[in-house]
Amino acid sequence: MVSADLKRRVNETPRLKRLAYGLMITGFIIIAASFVIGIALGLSIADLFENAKSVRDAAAPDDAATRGILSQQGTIAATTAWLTPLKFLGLGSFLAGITTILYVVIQSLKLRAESMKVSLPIILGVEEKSAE
Amino acid sequence: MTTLGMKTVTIPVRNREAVIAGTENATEMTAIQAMATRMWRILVPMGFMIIVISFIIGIINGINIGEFFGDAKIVREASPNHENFGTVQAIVTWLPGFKLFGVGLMLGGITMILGSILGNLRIAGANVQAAVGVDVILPQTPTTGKLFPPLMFMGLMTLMAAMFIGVWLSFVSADVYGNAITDINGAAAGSDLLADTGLVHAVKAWLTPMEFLGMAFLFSAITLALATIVTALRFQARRLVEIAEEKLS
Repeated sequence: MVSADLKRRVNETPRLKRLAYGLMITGFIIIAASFVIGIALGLSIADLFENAKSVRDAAAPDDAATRGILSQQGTIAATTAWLTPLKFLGLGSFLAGITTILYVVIQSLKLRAESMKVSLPIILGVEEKSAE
Repeated sequence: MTTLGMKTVTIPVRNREAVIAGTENATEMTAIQAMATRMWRILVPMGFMIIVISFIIGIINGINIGEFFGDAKIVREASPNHENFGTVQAIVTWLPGFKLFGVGLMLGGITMILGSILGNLRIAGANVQAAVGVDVILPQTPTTGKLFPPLMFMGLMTLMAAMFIGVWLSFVSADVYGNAITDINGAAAGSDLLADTGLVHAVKAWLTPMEFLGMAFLFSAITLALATIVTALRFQARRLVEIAEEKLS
């Protein structure tokens, strides 16, 4: 006799599978966002390098003509500083998703083993023979 | 046909005795699964070789960088292409893309092994059903199973494109850093040298995120392949219960 609990469990979708999908999508969004930010950063760097090094190095906060260049340099340096950790955050999200789905594989293997344990004696007619 | 909450196909069994004897399978792998079974054996060693080659090139380049810093700042910055600094910078530009392409090939190989596992689950499931003398019912490829091969392909293509962009940029980088550093630093606004210096820095800013995007495609493919394995295992568990209930009734 197949229990109602086993029938219910083999028919349900594991909740952790949805969590794995969520982590995968989060990771993808983070990395795609970092790519877009990287493009914007590249454009800003190209813009900055239209100025000679002497102009870039001489930029000062109290000079209205070069204040923008200094600000741009600061933004580029700051963005570069957090962009790499952001990419690894996305990678981490992916790896967490893969770990979760591997755990679901283990659960599914256990469930299939349980299903075999219950079903095979019935299918092969072993249950009746051992009862006799 | 829809059985057990999934779209399924019923496979006709040609020779049940041969399936029981183990000389024949009740079904074969799909074309993609069969290809994956062959291809991972090529991709994984290729990827590993690329990573080892990158490591060796990295060591050689490291020695050259060491030689560059063997001279005083004033000397190394004044002479053009001091200790082949242009070549050193060119290698620094293309090597990351090359090694990540190697990693990508290995991740592609892992995805293909997962595809091969799915093929083996398909054959094993069909053989068991044929051996116990019931209809051989198999699930149709779920959406996750349809999605992961193109995602893997996109990942490899993105990494390959990033590698080629890196190679192109390395020529620009060699041109720029072939000049004396004092000349690079003194490049006037609007000059080709300053424009090329800006180009090297600007492209590098988005090239690394592009490589990560390629990895993201590959990791998505691996996750979806594993999700498909979960679907296959759960289907097999359900099918066993269904067969047992058929026998009981």
